[in-house]
Amino acid sequence: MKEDIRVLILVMLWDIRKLGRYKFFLAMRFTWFLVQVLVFGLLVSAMVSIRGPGGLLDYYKFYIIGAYTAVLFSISIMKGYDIAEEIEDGLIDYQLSLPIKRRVLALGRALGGGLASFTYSTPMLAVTILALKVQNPIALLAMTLVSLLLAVSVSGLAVSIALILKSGDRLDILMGVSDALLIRLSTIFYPAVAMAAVSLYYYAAKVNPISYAADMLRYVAEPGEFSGFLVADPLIMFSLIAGFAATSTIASIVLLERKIEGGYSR
Amino acid sequence: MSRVAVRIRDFVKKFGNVVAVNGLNLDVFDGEIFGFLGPNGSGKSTTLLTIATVYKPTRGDIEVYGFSVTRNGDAVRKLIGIAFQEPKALWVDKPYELLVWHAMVVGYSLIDSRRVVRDVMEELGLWEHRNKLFSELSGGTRKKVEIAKLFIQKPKLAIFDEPTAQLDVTTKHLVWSKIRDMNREGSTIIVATNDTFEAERLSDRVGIIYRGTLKALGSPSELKDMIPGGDIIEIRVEGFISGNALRKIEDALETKRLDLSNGTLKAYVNRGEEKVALALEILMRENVKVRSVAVKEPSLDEVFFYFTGAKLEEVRG
Ligand SMILES: Nc1ncnc2c1ncn2[C@@H]1O[C@H](COP(=O)(O)OP(=O)(O)OP(=O)(O)O)[C@@H](O)[C@H]1O
Ligand SMILES: [Mg+2]
Repeated sequence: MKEDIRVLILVMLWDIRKLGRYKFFLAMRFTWFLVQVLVFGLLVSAMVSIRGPGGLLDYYKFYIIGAYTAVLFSISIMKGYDIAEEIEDGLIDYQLSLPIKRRVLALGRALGGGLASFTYSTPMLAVTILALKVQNPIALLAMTLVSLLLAVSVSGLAVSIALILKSGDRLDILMGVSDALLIRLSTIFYPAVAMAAVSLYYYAAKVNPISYAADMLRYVAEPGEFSGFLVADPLIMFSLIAGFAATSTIASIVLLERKIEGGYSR
Repeated sequence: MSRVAVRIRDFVKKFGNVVAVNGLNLDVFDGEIFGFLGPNGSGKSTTLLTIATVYKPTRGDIEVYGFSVTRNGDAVRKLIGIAFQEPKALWVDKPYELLVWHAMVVGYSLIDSRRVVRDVMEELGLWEHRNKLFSELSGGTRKKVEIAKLFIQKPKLAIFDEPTAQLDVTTKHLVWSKIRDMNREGSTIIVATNDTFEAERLSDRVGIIYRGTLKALGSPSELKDMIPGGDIIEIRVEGFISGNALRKIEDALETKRLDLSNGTLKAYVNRGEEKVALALEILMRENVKVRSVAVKEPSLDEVFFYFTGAKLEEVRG
């Protein structure tokens, strides 16, 4: 057990170690995020006015947290490309040959990928916190926790999908589609109440884990502010997010243990 | 009877429609250096990667010290280490970092890792490259980093996939001697290669694999004895040789086997010196222009050709 944990940490370091790699990519993301917060957010919130059971929504705050969730989601799903690249370069072959239990390898890659993705997003999280003027340490801690959970779930999912597809091209298509769909069909940019008019939107958003992550972040950042605008009760949201994280991690473990072998399918 | 380190039984590996290995049966003994010799695409890497639990057998099974690769992968992975044919690293990796990571994964503490990695890197002349990016290293240097993994790890079963393919002569000899040291210190070694010189110098036993099946197995000298006829008459000719001429040569020389490829005729015969004249006479009568003639003792190259080369029947069509 002690040995498993030691190796788990080493596997996680594999992803953490690559952090320095995407400096340019990070700078671009960060700049774009700043533009969203400083320009689009202000413009859009001047135009959008949403009234819910609890009164008028502060759309600016709503929007910023949505933008942060979207960024975190996109960064985490990039882990899939990382893995696809590692499959092509045979690095997954290398890891499969090492004295590492398959489930430790899977868990390590999901956790390491999630942690690395979250780390990338921290500058954006900091901007979000500043823009919302969140000061309560418990709120800050909770935001970190929820972000981490989302990053781990999505990275785990992306890792599994990449391992199943074993091909960068097929991955491109799937990721592009799911990125677009999951973000659109969620409460990232519009609250559930505002979507009720279009039932497809509404129900998709209701079952979309991304909605729960975004709204949970909103809830922990400012517990009172968004009441009446969230997809569900905080407890339900949290259970769903934790369940999503557990399911996606377990899925990648089962997959790697049972199904996965090396090689790159062309 | 020696203990069996690797037992391969009815091993088949398919990739889609491609049959990479087709019913391989083979035992590698504990403590030996086993040379796995075969031409490109014959299934060497596929077999080694399956031993290393990277691939799963399509049929059959492989046991490493009694542990099945399909049922007991964790136990197998604790015993083995593999240096891949293509070095495995991220382009942004630095050799030192990567090797320290590897050392720690195979069980060294951080302090011991740093020490052993430095020792091995210095020995292989890698120390000066320790902080370069992988993308900046030469092909041979990358290969040395890959091999260094096993010299650090010292697994019970060390698998080298064409370890010296890209190395200069000096480094080749260094690597061979380090592989032998490892063997002396208790590691069983499997070396895949298509270099007969390497197989002969290094191995206690050699298995020749061709199109996914084992064609011959034995010590290098046993393998040479397997070639029928003690000698090989090698005649380089210009132009076409008729099937008729070939049949005449076969009869007159009592060849054990006759191969023709790329304008070189090889007759496996007894008492080669006496039969050369006969062969030349026939060729001249058939108006075939002879460019050179040699009578040879078989080398491992000949053994390789014999078991894997184009057969006369295929050339004749
Ligand atoms: N991952 C893979 N996907 C599809 N086909 C493969 C894969 N790996 C190997 N093959 C095919 O299996 C056959 C055996 O390949 P293998 O790499 O085992 O040969 P090898 O003996 O190692 O050759 P070489 O000397 O060139 O390294 C080849 O036809 C090859 O194209
Ligand atoms: Mg090979």
